[in-house]
Amino acid sequence: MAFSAKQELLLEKGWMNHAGTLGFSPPAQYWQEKPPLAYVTPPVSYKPRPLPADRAVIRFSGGFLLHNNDYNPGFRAVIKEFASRWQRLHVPVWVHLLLEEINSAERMLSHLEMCEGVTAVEISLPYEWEGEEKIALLRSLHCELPVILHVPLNEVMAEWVKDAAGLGFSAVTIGAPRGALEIQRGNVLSGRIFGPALFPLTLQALLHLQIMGIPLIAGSGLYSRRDAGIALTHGAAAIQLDAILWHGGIF
Amino acid sequence: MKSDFILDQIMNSGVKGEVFIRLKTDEQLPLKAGQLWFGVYDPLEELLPTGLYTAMDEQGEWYLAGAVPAGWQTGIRLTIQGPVGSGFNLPPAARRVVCVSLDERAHYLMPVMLQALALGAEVVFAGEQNPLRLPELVEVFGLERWEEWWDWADYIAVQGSLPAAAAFFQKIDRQKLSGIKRAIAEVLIRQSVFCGGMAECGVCAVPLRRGRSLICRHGPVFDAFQVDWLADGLQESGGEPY
Repeated sequence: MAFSAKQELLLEKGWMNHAGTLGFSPPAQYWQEKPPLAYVTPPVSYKPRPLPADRAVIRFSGGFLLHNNDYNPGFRAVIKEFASRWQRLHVPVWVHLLLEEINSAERMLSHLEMCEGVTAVEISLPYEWEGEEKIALLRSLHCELPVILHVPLNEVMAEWVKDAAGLGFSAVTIGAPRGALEIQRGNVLSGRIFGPALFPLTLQALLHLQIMGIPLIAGSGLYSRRDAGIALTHGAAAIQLDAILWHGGIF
Repeated sequence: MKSDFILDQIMNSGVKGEVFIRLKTDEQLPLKAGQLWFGVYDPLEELLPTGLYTAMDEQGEWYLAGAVPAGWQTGIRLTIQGPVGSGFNLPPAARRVVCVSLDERAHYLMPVMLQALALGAEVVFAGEQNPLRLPELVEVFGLERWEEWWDWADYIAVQGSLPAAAAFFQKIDRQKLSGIKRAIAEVLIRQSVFCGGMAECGVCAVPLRRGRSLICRHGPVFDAFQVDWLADGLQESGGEPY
């Protein structure tokens, strides 16, 4: 077993934000009437990830695509600027890590184990990697904090996700899928997809992944209190909200 | 501030795809030139907040202007949030003011022109054709004659999209930008802003000589001398056209 958390992950049928929707320091509007279970940071990679020149948000019926290369200033810069702020938050902090390589992944995980206020780590892996590469990296990691595996919605049926079930994750997040849209003739941009049109797929994924026996977090397509209730009734231990938070949330 | 308002009027701004809106309110909204607000009516339909910029017509009436969703009709209840940024800051001592519009949206600069005239300053407008009738005291120049007014001005206010602003400032002699600063030059950069200032996703980032700034967090008006106009890809950036 790769992960053996010393603390238990507490998930009480509540809500939190999806990684990347609330910046590195959540604004006051985040709290809504019903407090969140946690605040999830934007994706953080070991090295800084630059903004692409063609960064964009592109709408389509039922949602939008965010093309920003998972822009972030890198792990060291993020910790230096925000770790002390996270300590002062009155809510558990989950740091979302983009893992790309074993040594840097180990360094980030061991550093986070010592960060006050950080109660869990949510990890995602390069979309373009083969399943075997993903499993090999996951097997080699160790972390004393609860670790949540973030799986894009369009990867939940992949074989490697089932293989990952035995590695000791505290939960699995069914997160925003990857997609692509043509913005001009011949010019296609890819990125994370958000929007209420994804909810039926998220619900199907919830039903499918229940056999894993790991708490599931529904993190895609939730834009109404009704859909949130349905997800929580049908297997979700918690939910993650995305763009609806920019309008004040649903609770 | 964040409050609900009844949408009282929607008017054609004279620019394709953009309208003026006015809200029914007993209290005057604290509108100032160059600030950004966000509006939303139906979150499930719209998904993303709509960016609204402060604008003024030729009678000196304030509006919020933007490309609004089709569902916005008079009588609906809008949630309005803002303002973001401190807007244009015309120095009271300015005596030679130039307002530069890089497209037909001169209404974003109208408050600066009227404020400058009220302060007794001479005002030049440089820009493309615009649908507004400018005050009689404003002298009009073409954009291509920028050398005639750049050194004359002690305050310059520019408005345009990020690609247009980048193209404009790249044309201007680099020495004029990086050398001794004779005028204060502020630029309103109209860039699509989608997250209402919450996500820090970087889509609305403006490269500065030191680092970068997000319009959604710090507002759309920048010191033109601080922006890195030579950064890669500026003339193509922006995502959805606003």
